[in-house]
Parts: sequence; structure tokens; C-alpha cells
Amino acid sequence: MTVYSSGINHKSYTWQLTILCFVLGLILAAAVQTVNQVSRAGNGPQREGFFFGNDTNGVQTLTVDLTKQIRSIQQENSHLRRQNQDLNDQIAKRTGAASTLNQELKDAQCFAGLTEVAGPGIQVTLNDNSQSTVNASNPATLVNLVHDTDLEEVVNEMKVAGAEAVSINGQRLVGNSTIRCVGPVIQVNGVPTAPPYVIQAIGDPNALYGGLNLPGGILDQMRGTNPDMVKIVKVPKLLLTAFAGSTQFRFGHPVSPRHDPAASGGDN
Amino acid sequence: MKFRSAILPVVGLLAGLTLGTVAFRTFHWRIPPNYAPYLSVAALAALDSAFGGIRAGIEGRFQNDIFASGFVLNSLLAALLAWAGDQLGINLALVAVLVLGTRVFNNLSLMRRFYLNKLALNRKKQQDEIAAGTTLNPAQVFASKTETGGF
Repeated sequence: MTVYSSGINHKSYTWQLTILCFVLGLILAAAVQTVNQVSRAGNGPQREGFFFGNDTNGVQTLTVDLTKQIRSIQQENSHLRRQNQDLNDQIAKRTGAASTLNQELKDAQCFAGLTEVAGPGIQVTLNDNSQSTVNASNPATLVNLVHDTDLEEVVNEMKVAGAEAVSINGQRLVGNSTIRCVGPVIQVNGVPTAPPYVIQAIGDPNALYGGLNLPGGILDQMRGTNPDMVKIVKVPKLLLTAFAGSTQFRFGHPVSPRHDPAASGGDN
Repeated sequence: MKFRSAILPVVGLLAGLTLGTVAFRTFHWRIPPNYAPYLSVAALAALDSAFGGIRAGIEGRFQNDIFASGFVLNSLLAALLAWAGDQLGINLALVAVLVLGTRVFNNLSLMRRFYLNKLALNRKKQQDEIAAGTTLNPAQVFASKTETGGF
């Protein structure tokens, strides 16, 4: 018999200890699961400003639903526009005066990107760097992704080199087109697209090719990260889709030059 | 604490871990990341109570009320400290972590001493018995046989 030993039987506290250990196990499991979720949310291959955590508010589901709605409306829109075109053609056939107007309308629509355009051009394919991963905590690794600014620079370079029509992943770029980074995807005209980004431009293929390959240009920089990120080919015949988004002006209205005091130089 | 009675708490711990993990996975329960520190502190309080309970048990001083109230109140105080720390901008949860952690190690060392002490006492008892001649020492038996040339 030591000073510590006693006559109390061990059963009484074994059971209570068991219950406590059970509770301890539950708490530990909860802690581990929570920490797992936190670390999963924190270390994913994310682009800036996007939270990869669980869909707590159903926001992502809502976004997907709305995106589907937008797509179907755009399809309907382009269908109606084609119908309108056909009707215009029919009117033009009947009257000679309308024919001139119709031709003008077509030119304007072509310039605005509301018609399909075919012609020679160039096709640039940009992809994320497959050789290296992106670490959110290390900004230097962000060059391994294709960003919205990269697309903007490429498109700008194309326009400088004389591109007449440009589209990214089937989204035709027009005057009010947007290229914007939203989470893991880039939205072009508000439609999310993911890598690889295929940018097609109609114009002089040689001029476009030369302009895009300028030393120190955006494609040159991306090739510096990994040559596989950039693919560029001249295409003898490209077919670019028409812009499918809304063309309605809600706030502005056209002013004819004759009645515009600013345009006429100001009489007073 | 006998070996057989030690199995039960371990089984309880494993059952809790499994049940908790399965439940969290299947029902997609979520504890907001903000509350993760409170959970860790609560886990530490439970661990401290478990070690304290084992120690009290092997010392024969285990009392239900102290055990249960200790766990509940320690957890509450630790959570309160963590919360107050958040409000003040000081990590007061560290206080709970430090104190409870120290107690766990302290209890473990006391348990270790208890068993080592018991082991030493047992050995002493055996030697005393040998000296008193109540038990035959195998070594002495062997020695006596070789001296007499019994082999």
C-alpha cells in the first residue's frame, strides 16, 4: 500500500472519464473538420478576390442560374436580329431607295459588330502555365495565370495592328464590350469564359502577327514565363460571330449633327 | 488505474472522434471559422479534465462533482477569456492555452511519478522478501547449486 492507493473502486471514475473522452473526441473532430475547411478555403489555386469556400449563401448557384438566363436571352436576341435582317432584305428587294439605306445599315451594323464577319486573320490561344502552380500567398506566382489585363493588352495590340473584328472565346468585342476578372474566370461581355482563351482577329495576318510578336510585348512576356502559354497562328479564313448582347440605349439618345449646337461650332 | 479500465476511455475517445467526423461529413455541419479558437480551447479544457480525472483516480481522490464542474467551468472561463480577448484585441485565449497546457503536463508528470514510485516499491518489497528468506531468489538457488557442484 502506497500513500496514493485507496480502496475506492476504479469503475466509478472510468465511466465518467469515458463520457468525457467521448465529448473530447466530438470536440476534436469538430475542430479538425473546421480547420480543414478553413485551410481548404485558404490555400486553393485561386485568382485574386475569389473565395473558394463553401457556397454558404447560394450565391454561386444564383450566378450560374443567371448566367444561363443571360445565354438564352442572348441566343434569342441574335435570332431576332437575324430575322430583322431578313425582313430588311425583303424590303430592299421591293424598292430601290430602300436598297441604298439597307446597304448603309449593313455597313453600320458590320462596323458595330452586329453581323458575322468572315476574312483572313490571326488566332491567339492563351493558356495558364501547366508547368507551375499558383500560390495565393506568393504574388510572384500569379504570372502563371492568364489575367483579364493580359487579354486586354492582346486585344489592344491587335487593334493597333489593324484588326477589324476581334472575338474572345466566341464573344465578339464591340464598342461597349468588357473584359473583366471575376473569381476563377474572366467575363467577356459579361459571359464567363475559362482558359484556354482563343482570341481571333480579322485583319492583315502579317501585320497582326508582327504587331503581337513585338519584343517586350505582352505575348513576349508570357512566353518568358512559359512558351507553352502562347500559341499564335495565321488563319486564311476566320468566321467571327455577331455581338449578341443588348444594343439598347437607356440614357443617351442620338443627336443629328444639324441640330447639335456643339457640332455646328456654336452660332452664338 | 488498471490496464483493462484504461481501454474504456480510449474507446470513448475513438468513438467520439469517429462519430464527430462522420456526422460533420455527412450532414455538412459547419462551425464558423471565427469560432474555431473557442473550439480548440474547449478541446484543451476537456483534455485537461481528462488528465486531471485520471490523476485523481489513480491517487484515489476522484470526485464526481469536482470532475464535472471543473470541465464545465474551465471550458466556460476559457471561452469567455477567448471572447474577451477578441473584444480587447489581445489574444487572451493564450492564457487559457498556457494554463491548461501546463496542467496537462503537470498531471502527466504526476502520473508518471506515481507509476514509477509503485514500480520501485514493488521491487523493494521483492528484495525485502528475498532478504527475509520468504521467497527463493533464482540467482541464489543457481549459485548454491554451482558451489556444491550439483551440476
